[in-house]
Amino acid sequence: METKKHIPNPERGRYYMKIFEKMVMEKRAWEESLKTKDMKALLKKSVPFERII
Amino acid sequence: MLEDDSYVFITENQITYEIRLESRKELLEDYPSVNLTLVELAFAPRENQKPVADSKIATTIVEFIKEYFENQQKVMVVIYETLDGKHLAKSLLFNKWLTKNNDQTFMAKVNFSLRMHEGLEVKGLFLFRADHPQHQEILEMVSAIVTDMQSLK
Repeated sequence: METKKHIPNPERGRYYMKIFEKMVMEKRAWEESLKTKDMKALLKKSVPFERII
Repeated sequence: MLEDDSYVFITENQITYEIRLESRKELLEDYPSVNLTLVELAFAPRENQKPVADSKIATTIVEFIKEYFENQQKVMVVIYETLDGKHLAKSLLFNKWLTKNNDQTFMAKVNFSLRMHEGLEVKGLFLFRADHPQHQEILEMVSAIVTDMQSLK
C-alpha cells in the first residue's frame, strides 16, 4: 500500500526535532540515574569512613 | 511494575534490566483524529552492570512489546543516539531482535535516522501492530513526522 505524498514542513520539523532533542536528554538522564543506583549500592557496601582512618 | 511506567526483569546472569515507558503524546499534536497512545520505549541494565550476551533478553523485550500491543491503540518509538558511539550497533541489534522474535504479520516498524545539532545523530524506529485498524494513517503520520524533521537543513 502506498502512502500519501507528504509535503515537507520545516516549521513542524523544528517542533518535532525539539521533542526528539528532549527525548535524547531525558533518556541520557534516565540512563545516568541507573548508574546512580549503582553508586548508592556501592556506598552501602563500602567500608565506613572511620575505619579507613 | 515499578513507580512511573517502569518495569524490571533479571537475567540468569543476575543482571537487572529496567524498561521505561514515557508518554510522547506531543508528537501526535498534528493528528487529533488519530486516536492513539504514543510512548517511548527504553531499556538498560541497572546499577552500572555490564551487559552479557544472552538471547533471552531479546525474547523478553520483544514479548514485553507484544504484550503492550495487545491494546491495539498503542504506538511505540525507540531511539538510539550518539553519546556512547554505539547507536548504530544498538539500533541494528534491536532491529535484529524484532526480526528474529516477531512474526512480521504482528508488528510493523518504520526506521528513521536524524541529524541534530553538534553532530548528534539519532537512529530510531516507530513500532505498531501490523493489523492495526488505522495502519495506513499511522504509517502516513510517522512518515510525515520523519519527513518534516529530515527537511531541516
